[in-house]
Amino acid sequence: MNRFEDAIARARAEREGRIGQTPNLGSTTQHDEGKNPRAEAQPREAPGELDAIPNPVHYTITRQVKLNPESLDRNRVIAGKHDDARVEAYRHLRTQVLQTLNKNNWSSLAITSPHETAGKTLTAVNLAISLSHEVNQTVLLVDLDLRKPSVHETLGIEVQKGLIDCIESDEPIENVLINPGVQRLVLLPGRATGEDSSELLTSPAMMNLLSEIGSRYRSRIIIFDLPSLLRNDDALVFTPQADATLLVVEDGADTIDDVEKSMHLLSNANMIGTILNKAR
Amino acid sequence: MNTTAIEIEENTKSFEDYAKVLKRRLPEFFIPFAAIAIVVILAALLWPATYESTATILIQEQEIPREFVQSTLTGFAAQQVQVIRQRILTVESINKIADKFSLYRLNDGNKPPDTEVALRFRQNVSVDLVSADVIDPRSGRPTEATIAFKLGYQSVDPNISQRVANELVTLFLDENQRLRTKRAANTTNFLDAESTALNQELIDLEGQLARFKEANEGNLPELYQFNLSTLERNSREVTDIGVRIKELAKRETELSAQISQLSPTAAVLLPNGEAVLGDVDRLKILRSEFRSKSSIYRSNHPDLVRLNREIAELEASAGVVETQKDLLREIATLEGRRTDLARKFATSNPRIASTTSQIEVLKSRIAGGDFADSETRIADNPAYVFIDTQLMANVSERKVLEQKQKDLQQRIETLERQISRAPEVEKQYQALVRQLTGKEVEYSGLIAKQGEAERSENLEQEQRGEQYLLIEPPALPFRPSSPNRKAIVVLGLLFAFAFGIGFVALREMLDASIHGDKELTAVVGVLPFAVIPYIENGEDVARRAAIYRKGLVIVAIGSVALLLLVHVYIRPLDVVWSMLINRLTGS
Repeated sequence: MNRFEDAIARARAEREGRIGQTPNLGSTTQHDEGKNPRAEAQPREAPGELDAIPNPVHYTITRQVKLNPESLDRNRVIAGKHDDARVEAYRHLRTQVLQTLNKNNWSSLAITSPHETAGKTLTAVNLAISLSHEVNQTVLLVDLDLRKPSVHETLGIEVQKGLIDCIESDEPIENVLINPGVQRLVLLPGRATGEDSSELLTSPAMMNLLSEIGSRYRSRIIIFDLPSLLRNDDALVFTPQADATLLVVEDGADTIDDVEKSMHLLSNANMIGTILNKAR
Repeated sequence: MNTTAIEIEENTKSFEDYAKVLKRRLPEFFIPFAAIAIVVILAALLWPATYESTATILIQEQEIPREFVQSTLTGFAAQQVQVIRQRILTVESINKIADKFSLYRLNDGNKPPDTEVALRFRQNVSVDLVSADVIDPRSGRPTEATIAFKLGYQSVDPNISQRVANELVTLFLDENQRLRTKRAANTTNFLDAESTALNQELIDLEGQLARFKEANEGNLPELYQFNLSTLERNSREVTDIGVRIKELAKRETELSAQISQLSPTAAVLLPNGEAVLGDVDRLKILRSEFRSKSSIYRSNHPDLVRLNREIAELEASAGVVETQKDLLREIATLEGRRTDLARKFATSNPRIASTTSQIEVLKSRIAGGDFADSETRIADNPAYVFIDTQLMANVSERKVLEQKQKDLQQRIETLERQISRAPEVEKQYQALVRQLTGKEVEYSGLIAKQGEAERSENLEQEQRGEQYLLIEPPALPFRPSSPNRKAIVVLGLLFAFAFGIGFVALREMLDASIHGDKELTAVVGVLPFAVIPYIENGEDVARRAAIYRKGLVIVAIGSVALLLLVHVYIRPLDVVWSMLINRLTGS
């Protein structure tokens, strides 16, 4: 560790009002080439806000995870690659999204699709990564698929705690967050349970959590990876919560009917557009 | 909602879209295409060639123009050809040909059933008419006339096709000749029989007519007027005669009255006016005087002698004048006298005996007929004679006229009867005459036809009628007539292509999913935020490569296997190669 760099980091952390940092026990901190193990805690809108309300009990740290390039490749997470021509599509998406969000002063975006196979999780991940490369943006990616959360799988991360724990066990968010080694990107993963999760969705605890996320991370862009629309109503419940919704459509698989039904279901949400995925 | 989306989608398709579809569904196009293409090519290569040998037969116009001899075989040439074709292609005759050339034998050398052989043979025979546009010489209108026909047979063996075609030509020509001669003869025979029958009918009718005429002799229509006028004449005549008879009757009465006043014998008047008795009366007086005196005197009394002498003289000139009545009267008188005498005298008295002998003489005269007729008195009174003559003439005339009247009356009745029946008779007569005339016309027509038929028969027999002439004998075909391999390949490939495209189109139509941003835009209404291509990972790439490799291997192995199969089971490959070259460049 470079002491110099360390000092700078500490200074920055103080400037940004972080509470403290210690390496997470049990985290997979490996030799990272040039990755700063700085913790990304919740940035505040007003710099002084959270100073005034420190969490007295927990010392939260955002878990750092180094991503495996091979598994990223295998899982088609390409947004981080700079030399791949295919990334251009995501960049284009990012630009569109940013324009729309900024124009309307929106900060949260829900990603869903008619069916499971559309690749919305991958899209959400790649979009989040892409967005985070934009220097002025910080991105929080929330996995809201309570039945089969797959964001962490896509990134090749193991999780012990997930969103569900925040609701059921009252786990503080900070303990669940993960920094997947990409600057300005934080992940709130999900943990698979075998339980039936539909009641949880409408529970007050969930609503509280959502509003908490919304308020605490207001300056970030929050991307919600939702379950598919036509599988059950889980997604329907969320979509009105987000500022905007994008519908991912699978080229060659989703029918016109699917899309139309989805659009109908999203009539209460603010659907800003579609993404045609897996285009051939 | 669905339909509008589809409509928009259809309206905005461009060539690139179609190209994209094809690219996407390339395997779905290629496999059907390849399958059909292979089948087609194999078919084109392996289809066995058939060769056809064709002969051309000209239908020649008859040599002698139709106006002179109308051939009895009027009938369109086309019909003729078809008729002969039917006669030749009977099951029996086909099988004869098939046996002769060993056609359609199965692999084991047996032949299929007769009907099947016939069926297949007929399919291999072609009879095509050749027509030309001509002007019909009789009506001046342009028509199509059949001037020739082509007769062909196809087979896989060119030699067979030529030989069978030759056989067919021979059969055709022979049959044609036979038919024409026979038909011409048949016509003649038919007409002969007809004319004989008709002749008989004519004879019958004529007989009928003759009998009718006989039966209605006076009543034939042509006599009608005559009968009428005759009737009229006769009626008039009858009337005339009646009048005349009346006249005569009147005259007769007059004459009778006159004659009753007269005596037949004229009293001769002396110049001093005294009447002298006629000879007849004198004779009568003398005789009666003699008789009365002879009863008194003896026969030698001079008075008696004198009387005898005078009687004899008068009798010599006047003849026998006493009628039977006179004699009977005399006999009665004499018998009275005798009776008187018998009362007075004894029977031996000579006067009784002489009276008795006189009675006997008179009786024998009666018995012998020696007396004069009461009527035929010799009248010598001229007036009496004159009137008597007139009377007699009158009477006879009257009698004659009466008879004539009767005859005429009868004749009138006959005529009237006839006349009343005349219309009926006329009807029947006319009917008979009509029948007869009709039959006569028929007969004369028939005679004419007979003449034609006989001449036509001669024409045929002398081979100058419509003839079939072989102008092109069947040649040995060196090029197959079918199949057209190039055409098969070209068309087949086109079809395979179309089929592939069709299959793709079908699949595309059935595919309800969204393809491409255009379709998505059509549904959503706005362009998508982004179009993310399919991201391949290492596995995908590897898999694609694997499929590609596998595909190549399969094609290679498959080709080798196919060639091997062809080489072993169909034909050796070098033969196939040369066949290919030949077929594709030659056929």
